[in-house]
Amino acid sequence: MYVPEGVTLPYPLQSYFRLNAQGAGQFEHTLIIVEPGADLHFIEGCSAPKYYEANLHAGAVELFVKDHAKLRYSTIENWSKNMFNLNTKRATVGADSIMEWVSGSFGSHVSYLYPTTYLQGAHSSCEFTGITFAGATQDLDTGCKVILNGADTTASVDTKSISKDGGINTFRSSIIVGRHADRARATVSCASLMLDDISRSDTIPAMDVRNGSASVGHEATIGRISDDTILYLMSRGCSESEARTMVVNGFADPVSKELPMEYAIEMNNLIKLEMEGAIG
Amino acid sequence: MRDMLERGTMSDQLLTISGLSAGTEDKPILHDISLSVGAGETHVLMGPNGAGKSTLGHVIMGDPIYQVSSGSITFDGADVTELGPDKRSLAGIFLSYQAPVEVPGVPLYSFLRTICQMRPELKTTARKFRTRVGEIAEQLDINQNFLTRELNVGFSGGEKKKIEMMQLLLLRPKLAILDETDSGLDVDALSIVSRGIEAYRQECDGALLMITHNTRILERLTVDRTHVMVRGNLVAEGPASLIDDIDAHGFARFEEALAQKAEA
Ligand SMILES: Nc1ncnc2c1ncn2[C@@H]1O[C@H](COP(=O)(O)OP(=O)(O)OP(=O)(O)O)[C@@H](O)[C@H]1O
Ligand SMILES: [Mg+2]
Repeated sequence: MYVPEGVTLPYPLQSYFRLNAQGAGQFEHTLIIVEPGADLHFIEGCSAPKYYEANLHAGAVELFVKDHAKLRYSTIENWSKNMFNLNTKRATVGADSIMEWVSGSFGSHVSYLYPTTYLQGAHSSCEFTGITFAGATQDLDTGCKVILNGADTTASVDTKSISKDGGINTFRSSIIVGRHADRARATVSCASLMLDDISRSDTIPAMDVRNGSASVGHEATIGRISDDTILYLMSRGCSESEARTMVVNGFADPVSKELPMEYAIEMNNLIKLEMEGAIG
Repeated sequence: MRDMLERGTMSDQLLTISGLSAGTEDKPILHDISLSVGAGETHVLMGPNGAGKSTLGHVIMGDPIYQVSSGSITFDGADVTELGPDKRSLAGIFLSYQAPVEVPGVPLYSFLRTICQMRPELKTTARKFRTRVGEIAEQLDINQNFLTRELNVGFSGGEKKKIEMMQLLLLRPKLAILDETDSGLDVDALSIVSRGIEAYRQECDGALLMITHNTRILERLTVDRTHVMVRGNLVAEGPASLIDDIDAHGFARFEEALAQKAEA
């Protein structure tokens, strides 16, 4: 994918990966170059029917965002629950540019996914908004890595995880501030919602700050759905499962807000199905 | 024959609580409560802090945190003692909470739409619904911007109470339990909310069980019965004039009467 200098795409460009062969591996490679002053929103959707044998998806995504450019890379992933999803995603960002990641991970048996952004030029920024939903048999090891090398660069990482029926969520963040990154700023916040006592959610932050004028912050919260909230919604007529789904969708709202309408609706439906335990 | 007659008198009452004792797993709170509210009637429940008024409201609504150890709750001709709060809500019971919860990420407007659409009698087109919500917002002096905000999130105490009233007027329940809906309201908000309650009474012919410490909210209403609760017991029931009596003399004489009864 090549976006020439100064070109702004008025609509998101959508791609869709589907794995349709039992026991197969998919090794796709995506290369996107956004030339100076250009602007692109790229959406990647992934799904696969469930086969008896496990599948492997090992994708590589290379993103080059030049100066004064903007790229938003959105992913909604709903692989089947026996998929091994091992992805490598890297972005290199020039000066005065913006890199935005929006990531929703719902499927797969095991996921290793840590999109990485190199902020090389001054005044560039990276924003990462992500959500993972781990249900029964799922182990989603995800995160985000930002290397701030340019002066006055900023990174903002905001993730949510939902764990249910023994699902495991691990969130790893890594913020590295280089020696020359004067006044670089980074914030990482991670909110986890546990839907029962048998699931698991871990947050593992790492920071490596080599510039005295930089500021880096990290915040993690873990919560449950309170009985009071369920009572409130039920006393307005919602069944218990409708009430829980409503709360989880509300929790995911900051992420779905970042998606185009159709994808936001799709994500809400995925949450509803996961809450009902209907996807196998 | 006798059975039929009894059922006849029962059905005059919208809500009948008989011999109800309830509490948390390790703490009894309500003792042998009996109380009836007829359709369209306005009842007031008063009592000192910690008496169990909110608990009674929650037990009527079906809050699973409380266990009913004996007695029953009948609503609109059906025993609801074992029903969950959702079923009771759909049957026509509404509770306005003393402290409404905040639900992040759920926009107020879509929440209102959802809770109305799930009721066959309230199902309507998007346009008619929008109009109705607009009318109620105006009636309650609720800023239209609130409709796109997250349910109760960051709303002030008084604003939350107005949002409760808004749900009351939209859902048109047969019985509304208002747990200190008046507390935390400024003078203007108080008169707006009491006009809202009046509207509910007239438009829906709704019954009210008002829990309050303040007689101001009652000024516009015709109160049919007043109940007094002390330490989990209903100790007195009387006409509207009982409210003025409490206003003037407090709960001391009821506390004493209960203490004497306990001794005897
Ligand atoms: N979930 C609970 N767990 C433990 N104790 C409770 C619980 N709910 C109520 N109680 C106790 O039961 C008693 C009655 O409480 P309740 O909230 O019903 O009082 P109230 O009459 O509404 O008081 P107020 O006028 O202050 O609102 C109090 O002592 C309270 O601490
Ligand atoms: Mg109370």
